[in-house]
Amino acid sequence: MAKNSTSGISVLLKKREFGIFIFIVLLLVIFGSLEPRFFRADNLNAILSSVGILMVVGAGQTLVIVTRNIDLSVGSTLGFSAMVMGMVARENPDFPLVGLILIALVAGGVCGLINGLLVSYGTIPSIIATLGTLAIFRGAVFLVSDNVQIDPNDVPQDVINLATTSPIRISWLLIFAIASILLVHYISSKTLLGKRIYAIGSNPEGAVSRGLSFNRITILVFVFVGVLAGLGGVLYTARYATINPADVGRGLEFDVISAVVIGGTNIFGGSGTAFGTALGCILIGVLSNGLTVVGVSPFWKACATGFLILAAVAIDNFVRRKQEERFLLEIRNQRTAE
Amino acid sequence: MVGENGAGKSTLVKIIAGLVPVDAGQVLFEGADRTFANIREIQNSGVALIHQEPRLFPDLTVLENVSVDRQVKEDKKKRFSWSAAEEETRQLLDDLGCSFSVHSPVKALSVADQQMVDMVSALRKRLKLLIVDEPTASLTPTEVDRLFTTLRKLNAQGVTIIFIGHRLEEVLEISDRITILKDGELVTVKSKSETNEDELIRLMVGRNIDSTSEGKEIGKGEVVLRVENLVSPGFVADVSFEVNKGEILGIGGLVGAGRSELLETIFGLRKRTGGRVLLNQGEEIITVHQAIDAKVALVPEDRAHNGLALNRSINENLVITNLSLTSRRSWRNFNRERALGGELIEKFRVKLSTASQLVRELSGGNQQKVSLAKWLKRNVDILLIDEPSRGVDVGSKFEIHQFLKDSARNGMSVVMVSSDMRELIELSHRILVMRNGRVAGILTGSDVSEEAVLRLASGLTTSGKAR
Repeated sequence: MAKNSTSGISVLLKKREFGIFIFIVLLLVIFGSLEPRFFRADNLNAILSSVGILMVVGAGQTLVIVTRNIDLSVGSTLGFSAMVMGMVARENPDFPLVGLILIALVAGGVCGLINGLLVSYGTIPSIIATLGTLAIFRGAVFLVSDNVQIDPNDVPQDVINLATTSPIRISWLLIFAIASILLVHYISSKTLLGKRIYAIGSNPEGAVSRGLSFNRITILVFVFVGVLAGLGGVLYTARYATINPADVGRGLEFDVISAVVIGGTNIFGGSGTAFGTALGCILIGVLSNGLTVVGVSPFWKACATGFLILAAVAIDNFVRRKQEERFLLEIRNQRTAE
Repeated sequence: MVGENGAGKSTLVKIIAGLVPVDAGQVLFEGADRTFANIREIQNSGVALIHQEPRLFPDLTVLENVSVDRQVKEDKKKRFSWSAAEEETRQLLDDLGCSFSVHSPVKALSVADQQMVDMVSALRKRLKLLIVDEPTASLTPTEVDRLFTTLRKLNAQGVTIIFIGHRLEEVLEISDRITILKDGELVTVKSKSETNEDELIRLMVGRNIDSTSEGKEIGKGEVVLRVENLVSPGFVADVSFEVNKGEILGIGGLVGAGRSELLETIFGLRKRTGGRVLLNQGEEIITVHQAIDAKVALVPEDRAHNGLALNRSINENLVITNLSLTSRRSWRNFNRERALGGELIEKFRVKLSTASQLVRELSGGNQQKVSLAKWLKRNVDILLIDEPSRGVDVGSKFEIHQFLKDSARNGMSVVMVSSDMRELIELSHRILVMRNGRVAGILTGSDVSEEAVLRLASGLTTSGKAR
């Protein structure tokens, strides 16, 4: 009996990712037939670049949501890291690329650490803590920059090259994106740390009674998403070559959380995969670009994404409830049989 | 280790395992003071506690559940590897006679199998003391046998075991010595050879309660509530009984026997898949609304969450069930609300500073009074009450008991779930004992005794199929 339901669940999981995949293909076909320009190389590149930035941040957000938390501040964190890096580059035109990237990662990590401390030792629910830091970090972007934007001629060519040049057919930006997804996949499926992250999301009380260090894992996960948002800041700068304090990363949290949830991560913690998130990012990227290209009004575009999230969660809940009912029934039958 | 519900067994072992802090005294393990050690230190010293509810992670697989608290470098040189862990886990599972795969998610396993996974997580470490808290409560006989074989094997390997059980025959079967707790205190320690089930029950009970005090004769009056073959999946299985007018029907049984769930199913809170709940005129209750309209009330066990709005005033809590009495055309009338609240407060002698005080600030006893009082203006015919005196001080307990007795005398019928033996026996006219979601038996008149209830609850005496 255990065997049956095991394969049942894993089949369902596969079905989910397969379902998103089919949906993406469907969208590609629809957009492509409505508007041939959709498949032009420059448009596909635009999609891939925005998907890449989403993936980097989404990979981190997946682990945060797995621990029953959420990070609403990722957009502001990305903006803050990009701005700090951009300002250093503007003042020191000869600063090495690796140094700039490190600065962005550290700036993001510090933001993440603040979130992590607030949520763990501060015991503030993450949705509130990061709502606060969403505003604080955005304010910090204005404060450090004096509301002066970083212009393209202040951004070093090395940084811009990350979005355009490539060692192997695909740009550095996409390499970073794929690497982030693979890293999270590796952490969550192969390491003990990953299993602990899933454990505290799956059963927090159980985790404590097994002696897992709840606070340390929570902080670590927030720092991790912060660092990835910092990397996102680098990639954002590479792609747009401009850092406007008001625009950089604004509203990113919406797309990122949508992608993670559509990708099948349970908003109540305990389950979710990096690959699911990657597919969710592609779906959001394709949908958002496609709707624009075929000429749908931006207002309808926002509705479409919103509808997609609700549909994804509704389907999830439905499947879960059915599973649970079937499982209770099975156990009862097994009992009466004995 | 044996004792009644609430004797303090679970709390004691949680203290030993570091899950509950110590107020006074010492815990010595292998001669060392372990009183203030944290969970991790205690676990590393070879102590494991297996709770009644497995401490597992439903989303992770068996292997991951077992391995999650391992160290990356367990023996300085050897690094953790999944293949080695898998080998080890599979071996342990084989030893326990488990047939499920190490890669199945734990949520896909039955409760018994989950318990085995919990056991394996404990066995993985160098174990010196294993504490199992009522492991057999949800297991079938074959599963219990398998568990006992494992425990004996461990014991033979030199592991000390503290086994907490409610089924005395099992305790006698597995133990060398038996510790009896009662009301948080040690009664005595007996070695297996010098005791038997009857003596254990006597020691656990420790007193004889005169169940015939205060004229408890009830008119074999009209039946006001009839429950027929009620089924709620997983909790209540084929339960039937009747309640007479003016009767207090006690419901006894062990924790997890399905007693609270039975009340909730009657009241329409829980999904039922079979059976009927009928009132005396033959009208059926299905939803909560129908129940309330039919003058049935439920006072839940967990009053903080289900019975009260803690952050609201006493008066608001009292009025919430009576708004139809105090309101006019959908508008609240505060004067009437105050008057009604004041009346109930006086009747129940709720101790408070002002009626606008938050319920949160009241003591457990006074909270319970509020939880009960809010129903009374509705002229309740049938009161379903769950653990009326849990967490309640002695004075309030007495008043609540007095109220239940008076109300019954005035014609209200009461169905009362209680784990407090004394309360159950003193108040009830009849006692229905539940076991594993079923009716284990109904005790009346001279049959009623603490011993008889315990025997039915633990399956020693059965009026149906034997264990």
